[in-house]
Amino acid sequence: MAATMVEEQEVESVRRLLALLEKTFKTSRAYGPTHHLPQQFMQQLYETLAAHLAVRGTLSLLVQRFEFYYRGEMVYQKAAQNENLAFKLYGAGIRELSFSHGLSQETLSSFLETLGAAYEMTTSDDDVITRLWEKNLSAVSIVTAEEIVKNEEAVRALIPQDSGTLNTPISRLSAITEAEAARQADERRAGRPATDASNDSRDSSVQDISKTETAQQAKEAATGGEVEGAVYSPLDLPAFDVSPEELEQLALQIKAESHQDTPTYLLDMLKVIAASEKSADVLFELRGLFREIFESLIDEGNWKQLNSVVDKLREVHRRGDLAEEQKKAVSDMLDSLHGPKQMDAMASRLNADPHVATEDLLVFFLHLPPNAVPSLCKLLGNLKFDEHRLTLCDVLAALAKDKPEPLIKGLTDSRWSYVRNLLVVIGKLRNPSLAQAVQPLAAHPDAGVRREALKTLSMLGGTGMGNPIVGVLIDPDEEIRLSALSLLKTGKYTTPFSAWTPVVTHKEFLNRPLSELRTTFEVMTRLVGAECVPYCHHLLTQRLWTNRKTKQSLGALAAEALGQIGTPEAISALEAGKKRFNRVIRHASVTALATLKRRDL
Amino acid sequence: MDDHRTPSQPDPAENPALQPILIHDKSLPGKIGEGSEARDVLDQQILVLGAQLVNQLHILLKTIRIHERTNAAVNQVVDATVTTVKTLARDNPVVIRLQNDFLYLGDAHLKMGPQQVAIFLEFIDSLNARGIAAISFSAEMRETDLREFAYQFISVDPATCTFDDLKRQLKEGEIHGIDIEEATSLMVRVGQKNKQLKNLAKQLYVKAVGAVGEVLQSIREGRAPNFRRAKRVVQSIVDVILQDEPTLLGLTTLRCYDEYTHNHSVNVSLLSVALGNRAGYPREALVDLGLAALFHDLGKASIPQDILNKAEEFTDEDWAKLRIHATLGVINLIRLRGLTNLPGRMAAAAFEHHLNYDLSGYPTLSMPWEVSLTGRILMVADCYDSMTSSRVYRRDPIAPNKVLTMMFAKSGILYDPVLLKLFVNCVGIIPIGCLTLLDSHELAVVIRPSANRQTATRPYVKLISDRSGRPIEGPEVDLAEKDADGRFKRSVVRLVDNTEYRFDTGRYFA
Repeated sequence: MAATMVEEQEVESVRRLLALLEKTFKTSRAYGPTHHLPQQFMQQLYETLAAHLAVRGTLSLLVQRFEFYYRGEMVYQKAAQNENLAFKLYGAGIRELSFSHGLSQETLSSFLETLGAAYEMTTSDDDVITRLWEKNLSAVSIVTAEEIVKNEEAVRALIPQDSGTLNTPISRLSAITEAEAARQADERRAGRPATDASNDSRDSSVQDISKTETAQQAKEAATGGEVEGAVYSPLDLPAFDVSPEELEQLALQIKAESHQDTPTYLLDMLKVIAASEKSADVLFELRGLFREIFESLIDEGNWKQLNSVVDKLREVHRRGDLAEEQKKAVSDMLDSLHGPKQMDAMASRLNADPHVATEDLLVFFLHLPPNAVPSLCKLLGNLKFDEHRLTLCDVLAALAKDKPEPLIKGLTDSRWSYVRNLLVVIGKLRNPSLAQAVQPLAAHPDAGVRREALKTLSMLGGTGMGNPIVGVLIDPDEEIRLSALSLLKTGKYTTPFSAWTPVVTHKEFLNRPLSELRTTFEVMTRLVGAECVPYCHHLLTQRLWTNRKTKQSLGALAAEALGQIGTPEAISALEAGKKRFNRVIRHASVTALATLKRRDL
Repeated sequence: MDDHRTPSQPDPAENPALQPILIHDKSLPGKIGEGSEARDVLDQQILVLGAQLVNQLHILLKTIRIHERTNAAVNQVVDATVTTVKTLARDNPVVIRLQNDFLYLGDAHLKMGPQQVAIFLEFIDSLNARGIAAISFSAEMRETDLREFAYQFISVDPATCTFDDLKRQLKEGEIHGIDIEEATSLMVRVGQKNKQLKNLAKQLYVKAVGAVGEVLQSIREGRAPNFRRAKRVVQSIVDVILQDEPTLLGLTTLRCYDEYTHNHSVNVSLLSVALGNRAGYPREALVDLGLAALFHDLGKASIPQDILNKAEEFTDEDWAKLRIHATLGVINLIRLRGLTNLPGRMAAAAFEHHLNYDLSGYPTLSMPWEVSLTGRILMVADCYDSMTSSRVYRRDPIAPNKVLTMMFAKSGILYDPVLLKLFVNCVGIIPIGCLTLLDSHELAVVIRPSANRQTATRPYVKLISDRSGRPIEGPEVDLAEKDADGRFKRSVVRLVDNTEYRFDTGRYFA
């Protein structure tokens, strides 16, 4: 029976068309619309469809969940949802799709492009249907599910305006005409112009109204009462004419409105609200809104926009005309920038992306007030990438300059990498008073911390007792030891020889490179002076049965040190060394004594 | 009793289509989850029943053509059809709908098998011939109702009678539980007939009210609202306004103060789109503007209902609370849409609609601010609709012409003068909804402005009373129409303040 209703040939043609449509859609999505393959299919599809439309007229397809129907015959079916054109349209709420004569290739291409676009269902107003409307595609039309389902009951619910007050029944219309007739009669008696219209005048009715109303307005002006009638003075038609210049102005405004930078416009609006609104309810809501804006912009990593928001708020905050509650509200808004939630969001965002616009991020951080330092310290501890840490260290160095306490507090943190970063910041502060807090970290269990602590101490230029630093000289890490030596070498520290005893008696001491030993002796001699004479004396006179080579080197260094010290005890020790059988020690002692002699001369 | 049957007529007793195939447990759909396999099976069964109903109706119409209404053959098919209807109609009526030569059960397409093609096509033809878009059957329908309906249906000669004739006959026949709906063109192929357009406009109006209500309800309940539905409606509204502005503007006279906020929002949207169109907004921007206007009062969702619905005079405190709705609207919108997704026009509409052209309104601003074009349009549309509407705290509306007078008195102060002029061109120098007294002593309501600029003061009116004041269902009259001597057939003598007579002109737009 179907064959009697629909030509099988025509149905087959539609089937082939839809197969081609699907193929074009798929390849266009896979390769992009500019690729030669989809373009080739598109050309083929367009030619086939145009030929079909030319012969058969409009092609109307009924859209079902997984199928298209053409004149009651299924012409397309796919069980899978993926890449199923029918499902795509059905899911979008389209129940009928028609292509009509005059369809251009651009239109067809635009249709498929709209169909294939991704729509953010939670935040956007748009979907396939709204986009198709916007494209205003001639020769492609759709019927939506909403259009099919009609709500007759609801339409019937459209009732005339408030029957409670405007309740004069239609049957009482005569009362109105009678009252109006009486009014006209009164007007005539009062010598006003007759209100019967003169057909000679093109707009006689309006003129009559105008006259009546002019009189009424005059009366109103005299009495100061409300305008009684209904006219807009002057009631000349040209009064309602809009000039081409006025329309041009409107066109310019429409254009400007359509192209404005919306986020900036909205922020300006919020700025004005924040500066103007005194209602506690609004200020409360505004605070919440700004918190959400901050969170959302941080989530997006939109630092530039975030900076704009902060700029606007600071601009408001600077205003002198704010009421106390407004000022507090704006301060709260700015403070919420570094609230715990915002900082957590910031950490998540930064840890997800090592390549952020550092400059914008830096500007954002630098916008923060000094009381943000504790939050920023916390953030520093949660960051994963060095790039971000470095940026934040620079920021903290700027913000914590006057109030470094949160940094010092953080030095006791169990996360060593965090402590190291804090040390970097403290080093940048160049504040010698902080050295005391840093010194204990020279003995920190983590080599990195120790290294950084020494580096920091050298940057801070601290003074005073250097015992903890001397303690570092037994560190297994040569670099650390050398850093400590370098620090001690500055001579800004004082230490008793007792602090050196663990160093020089350390089992590894003999294994140190000669250059390090030399520096150690130099530094020790400089810091403890004559206090080390007994130790040096011992080195000159000790037995050399074991580790002979090292011990003779130490003896030589001790002789040199004693020569530097030059006290009678030192000379006496050198005299003892001069008598040693070991050539190296003897020679070193002789040289030191000779140097001393030259110095005395 | 007539029991003759022609050989070509089906024997109802033998026809399986007349036998009910399944009686569902009425609570079954509620027990089955959406998207489940069971739901698919149920949906399929419902569609089968729907196709069966079409078959039964087709047979009923055929049978009743040749038999008396009380004939046993008719009884049998009536019984079977009623059973099918009662199976399908649970809480809502079952609707067989015709759309572009496709039959639907509700919004599901009824597919025809090869054996049904002829039946379906014949049934479709019979609906098309009578201008019927849908027939709905409710569970309350009795056998007598269906029998009478079928009889009236075939009695109406499609060649000479209209849909309205059939509708009237059904009404006179006191048929309960069956209703018919007139065919209208689809949105994408909007018909040229005014009536069809009016029906479409009404549908859109109702949908827009629904969309506003849905969004406001979502906000009150703390759910994320969806603006997509509203946008689709506004897109359709723009299409209609671009074709026939007065039809939609006429609907703005229909207002129910119980639903003031929703109706007002839709009215402001319609007026704004119309004004925006006159101002030169492109099609897409009109949607932006319409959507912005639709939600200009969104901030009211945050105002306690007891203030919004307060019948007594507002106190200063009430006003203070009400006035923050403009800023709360902006805050709500940005919260809902985000800085990057919220159209600027939407925020402008919420923020500026009470600001006034000279910034003398509220919120009071302590920083310089330039009112947007959207805001200025909203000021005009919002004020016009507010003043012509009755509201909870001011039940008496003001006549449209008086409102325009008042607004013109403040042109350049409260309202943009250029937009106000355009607005008058939009609603008419004698505005839509005005009650007028004609020189023929007839009363008439302004339906649409004159299409001709030269006769702008001669709108189209609907005559509502004759010379002696008797109410009439008069025709629509073009006041610019002239007689053979070149004289205007009718002219407006004066504008009558309908509110003074407590007479509602909105009824002529319903």
